[in-house]
Amino acid sequence: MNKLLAANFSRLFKNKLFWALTALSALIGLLLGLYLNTLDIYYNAVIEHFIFYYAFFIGLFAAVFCGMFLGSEYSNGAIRNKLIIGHSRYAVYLANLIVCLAACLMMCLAYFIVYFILGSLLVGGLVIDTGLFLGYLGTSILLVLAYVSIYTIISMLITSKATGSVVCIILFIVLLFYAMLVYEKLNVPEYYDNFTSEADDEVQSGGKQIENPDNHNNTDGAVYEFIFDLLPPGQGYQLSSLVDGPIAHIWRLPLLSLFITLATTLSGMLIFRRKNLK
Amino acid sequence: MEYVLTANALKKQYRHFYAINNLSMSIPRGSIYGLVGKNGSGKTTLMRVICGLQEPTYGGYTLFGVYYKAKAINKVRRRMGAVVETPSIYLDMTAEDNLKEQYRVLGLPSYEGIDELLGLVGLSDTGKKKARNFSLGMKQRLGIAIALCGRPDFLALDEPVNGLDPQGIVDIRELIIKLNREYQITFLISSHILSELSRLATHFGFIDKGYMVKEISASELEAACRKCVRLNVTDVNALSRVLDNLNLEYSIISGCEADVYGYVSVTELVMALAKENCEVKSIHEKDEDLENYYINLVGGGANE
Repeated sequence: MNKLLAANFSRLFKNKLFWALTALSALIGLLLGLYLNTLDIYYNAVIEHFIFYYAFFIGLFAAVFCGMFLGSEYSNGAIRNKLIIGHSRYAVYLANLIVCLAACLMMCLAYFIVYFILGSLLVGGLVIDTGLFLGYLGTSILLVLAYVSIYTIISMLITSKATGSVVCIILFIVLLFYAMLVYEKLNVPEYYDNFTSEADDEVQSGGKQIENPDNHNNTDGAVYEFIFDLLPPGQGYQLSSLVDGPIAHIWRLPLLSLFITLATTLSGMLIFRRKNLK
Repeated sequence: MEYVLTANALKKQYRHFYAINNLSMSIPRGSIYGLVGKNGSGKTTLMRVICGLQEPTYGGYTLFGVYYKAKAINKVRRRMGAVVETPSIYLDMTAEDNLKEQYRVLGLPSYEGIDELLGLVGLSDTGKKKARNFSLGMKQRLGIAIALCGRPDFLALDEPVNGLDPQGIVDIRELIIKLNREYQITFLISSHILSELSRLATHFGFIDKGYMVKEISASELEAACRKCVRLNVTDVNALSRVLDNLNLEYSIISGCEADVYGYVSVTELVMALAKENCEVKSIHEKDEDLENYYINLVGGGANE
């Protein structure tokens, strides 16, 4: 597999899309670093507020990159060159997964370095507990792995580059919307005021607190929380919005990412082994 | 005889359709094996199966004596190269970069031999030109160069001259002959351009509806395709009498045509016919070619 990795990495470093997405990632880091400085005017902003923001946008970046990078193996027919000379299908699959993971982590790193340097200069260094910081960092890396695993199985099983890329992007959008829907459900208040008035452009509320029928009881809430933690965009949202507070289930997120990675990679490898290639 | 590839009762099924059905074949070492068959006869499927891109549904094959399910098959596959359907090349890379990429896939320690390979396929002067800007013939030659990267002993080429212009066809033919003679590479070439295949192949396999109809060497084929002289005359009865008198083997084709086999003295024959008041309208030498042989074998009516 070392040979395949060497070939894949060589191709990666010549890939224009990879460099474009890495540059865009660094640009987001730059903009958020400057935004952090603006926030600092209003309240005490700290660097860790947006330090894992890459966890949010990497889902889309990985969808675009994996779909195109792996899809070109099929569109050019180059995957045949690897199999004809005797590389196993497992090795081809894993080498592609590893190079895509490395590429996406490098995109994250580009964001991280730019944001961290700029943020440190503008608002100061980390104030978060080092253990917690490393925990979040590990969680974000496993999230990237989960994303890449999902997109790798799609790109390796759909032989059309265009279709594979579109499916990856659409899947990200669907997961993102579903995560937003779940988030909305989780944030329905338990009680609401029995009256509101909007006279003279002023909203007033008060009176007796009434139980909200849209609020979910504890069991429903736990299920929604689990789904939100399971969905990669849900995890990405939690990691990217540390400004709202710490992550509730810090141990559950990496475990769920690992579960997604193992489930998609093992099934992907088994299906790819039996796949008829043209 | 030593065989590079042997297939035994090979079957490949897609749902209810057998693309390859009970196909057996043997490719002798050092040969250029021409796989002849019409579109949809199973040539490309067979190529995909022996290249490991698809698994046979039933039956099996051996490559350099190693069964396709054996562990050693991956090691043996290093000794083969292939261009199946379209050449497998990165279009955004130059010819040299494409070869370097394949060198890395093969795990070769250095890029030694790339210039030689580019020269061999006539792509030395392509410089920084990307493969997407290559002509079809150049892409095909680059595909062959990639297949040659590991210095293979066996090369499988699927329709290598499809879509090429006459010069491109000549270039590919000369390249294949050179590789076969100078580098002792065994070839499996599928094509439905029979005239082209007949100039190259030392062995033929005729495939139809997934079956191997016949395997034959070029020398056996030559013997089977007998030369004859076709005569068009005014009186076929007179011709028959004359040919009987001359002890020549012949077959009557129609009321005015006959094929005469063996050596024929045209002067003697025409003078004898003149005595019988039979006029010779036309006379031409005819030898059955690969195309006729193939059509007779698989049935002309079914051909495209």
